[in-house]
Amino acid sequence: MNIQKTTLVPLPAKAPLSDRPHSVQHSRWRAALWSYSRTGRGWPAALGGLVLLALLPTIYDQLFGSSAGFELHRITLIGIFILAALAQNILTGYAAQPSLGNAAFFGMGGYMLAWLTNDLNQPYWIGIVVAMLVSAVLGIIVGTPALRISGAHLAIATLGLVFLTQSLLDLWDTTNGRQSYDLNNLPQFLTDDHALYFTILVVVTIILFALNHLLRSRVGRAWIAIRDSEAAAEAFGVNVTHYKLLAFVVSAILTGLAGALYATWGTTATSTMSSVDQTIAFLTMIVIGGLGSILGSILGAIFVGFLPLLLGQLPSPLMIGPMQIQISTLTIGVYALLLLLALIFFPNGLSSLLERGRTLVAGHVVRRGETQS
Amino acid sequence: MTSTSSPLLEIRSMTVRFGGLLAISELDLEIQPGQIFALVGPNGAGKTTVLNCISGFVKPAVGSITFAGTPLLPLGRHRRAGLGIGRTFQQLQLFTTMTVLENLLTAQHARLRAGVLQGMLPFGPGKAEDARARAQALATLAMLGLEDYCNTVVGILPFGIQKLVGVARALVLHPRLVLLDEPAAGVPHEEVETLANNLRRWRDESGTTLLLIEHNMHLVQTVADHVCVLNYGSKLAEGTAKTVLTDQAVLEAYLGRDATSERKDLHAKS
Repeated sequence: MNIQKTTLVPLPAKAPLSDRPHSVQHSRWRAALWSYSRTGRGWPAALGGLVLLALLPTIYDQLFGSSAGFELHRITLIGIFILAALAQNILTGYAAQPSLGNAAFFGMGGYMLAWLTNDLNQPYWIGIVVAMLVSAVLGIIVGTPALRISGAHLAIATLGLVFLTQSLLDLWDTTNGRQSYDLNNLPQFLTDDHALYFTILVVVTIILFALNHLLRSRVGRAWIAIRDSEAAAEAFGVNVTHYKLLAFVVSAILTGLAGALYATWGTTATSTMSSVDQTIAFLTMIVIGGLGSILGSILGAIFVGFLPLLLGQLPSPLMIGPMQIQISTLTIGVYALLLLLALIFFPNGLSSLLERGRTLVAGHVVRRGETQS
Repeated sequence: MTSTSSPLLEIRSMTVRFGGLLAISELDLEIQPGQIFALVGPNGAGKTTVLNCISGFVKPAVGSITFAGTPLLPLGRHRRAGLGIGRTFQQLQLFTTMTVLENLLTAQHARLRAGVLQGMLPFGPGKAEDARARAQALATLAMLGLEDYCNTVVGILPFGIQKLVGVARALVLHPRLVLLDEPAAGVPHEEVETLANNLRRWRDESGTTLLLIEHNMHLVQTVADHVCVLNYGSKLAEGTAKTVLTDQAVLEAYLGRDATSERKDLHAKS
C-alpha cells in the first residue's frame, strides 16, 4: 500500500458551489455600493454642499423675498430629520436591529426639553442634555429585550413601546389640561428662523462628521460585523450583547436630540411625535435613502422632508369625483406606497442609484479613454 | 515529538449531545504547541462540532477544554479570540459588505481598545491603534499574496480568494492556535499545493499551532504532523499522518474502499 494511492480514494464530495453562503451572490450589488461611503471620495462634494447650505439663506432672501423666513424654517426640518434618519440607520442599517421604537425616543426627547425649560425653568442646554440622557435610559430599556428576541418579534415589541410612550405622554398632557406641550421659554435667538437654521446646520454637520468617523472605527466595524455574520463577529472577539445594546443607546441619544430639536423647531411637543406614523416616516427615510449608508440617511431625510411640501402644492381638499381628500392625511399613505416601490425597484435606496450613476459615468470615461489611446 | 511539554490545547472526556443524538462521546485530544494537527473522518463524524466547542458555539454536556492552562468552557465566545484562538468557517462567514482590509481590521477587535468617544474623533489613540492594525493587516495580506485585493469588497471576490481572505482573517492577530475548517474545500486543485506550502510556512515562521479539518487527504498527508480520525463522535485512530492514513482499517472503513472492492460490494448486493 503506497501513500499516494489514498489520494485516489473517493472522498465525500464537497460541492464548492453549495458551500457558498447565499449572501455572496445576493449581496454583490449591495457590497459594491457600500464601498462608496468609505472611500473618502465624498469629501469635495460634502464641502461643496456645506458651502451651498451656508449660502442658502441668502439665496432664499433673493428667491422668496418676504416669505424667505417661512421657507427657510420649513427647510430646517430636513436637518432634524437627517439626525433621526442617521439614528435609525445606525440601529437598523448597521447593527441590523429592526427596531420600530425610535419614535418613542423622539417623543420623549421633545417632552423632556419642554418639561425642563418650561416647568423646571432650566437653561435650554440642560434641557437638551437631559432629553438625550432620558432617551439613553429608554434605549437601554428597549435594547435589553432585543438581546433575547430578534427579527419580527423585536419589531413588534419595540412598536409596543411607541404606543406605550404615546399614551403616557398623552396622559401627561390631559392631566395638565393641555392639547400639547408648548415651549414658551426658548432662548430668544432660536425663535429667529435664520439663527435656528444655522444652529441646526452646525449640529448636523458636527454629528455627521463624528458619525462618519465612528462608523469606520472599531465600534462601527463591530456593528457591521454583527450584521454580516454574528458568528464570525463573536469568534473574533466582538461582544455581541454589548454592541447591540450600544447601538440602541447611541441611536436613542441621537433620536432624543432630534426630538428635542423638533420641539424647538415647532415650539411645541405633541404626543404624535411618538406614533406609528412617525416610526414609518423614519423607516421610509432609511429604506428610500439606503440602509447602512450615511449618504442614504441624508437623501432619505431630504426626500421625506420635501414630500409634504410637494403634496402641499396640491389643492386641498382634493376632489376626485365625489371624494374629498384632505392632503395632510395623504402623506403617510404616500410614504407607505413609496416604501413599497422602493423595496421593489431599488432595494438599496437612493444612495445606490446615485452610486450606479456614478459608476456608469466612471465606466464611460474609462471606456472613452481606452478608445482614444 | 515534544511529549514532555504541556499541550497547548487539551480536551478531556468531552461529550456533546444534540437532543438525543450523541455527536461526540468521551473524546480526548491533546495538541502540542507548534503542531499541525489534522482532524479527519467521514461527514457527520463530529469534526466541526469539536471546533465549535473550542470556539464556544456548542456547549459540551460533559468534559473540559483547556487552552494554555486556561479552562475555556466558562468563557464567553467573544473572550476566546483575545486568548489567541483564530478560526475559519466552513461557510466562510466573511463580513461580505466590508473590504478585505476592513475584514482584517475587524478581526483585530480583541486587541484594539477604542470605544464610542474615541471612535468619533478624527485623531487620538483610536486612530493611532487603527493605523497599527492597518499595518499588521497589510503585512498579513502581503504574506498571503492578497495585497492587490485589500480595498475590494469581499462579497464580489471569487470563492477561492474569499477562502484565502478567511484564512488571512484568522491569522492576522498571530493567534497561538488557528482552527481551519476545511481550508481546501472549493479551492482549485492546482492551488492546494500552494496552500499546503503556506500552512507549513506560517507554522514555521510564526510558531502558530494549526488544528485543521480536511477531506483532501493529499493536503493532510503533506502538512499534518499528527492525524486523528473521528467516527461517530469517537476517536478511531491517532498518530502520525503516515501511520494513520495507511492503516488498513481506517482506509477501508472510513475513507472509503477502493473502486474494485466497492464494485464487488454492489454485485454482492444485487
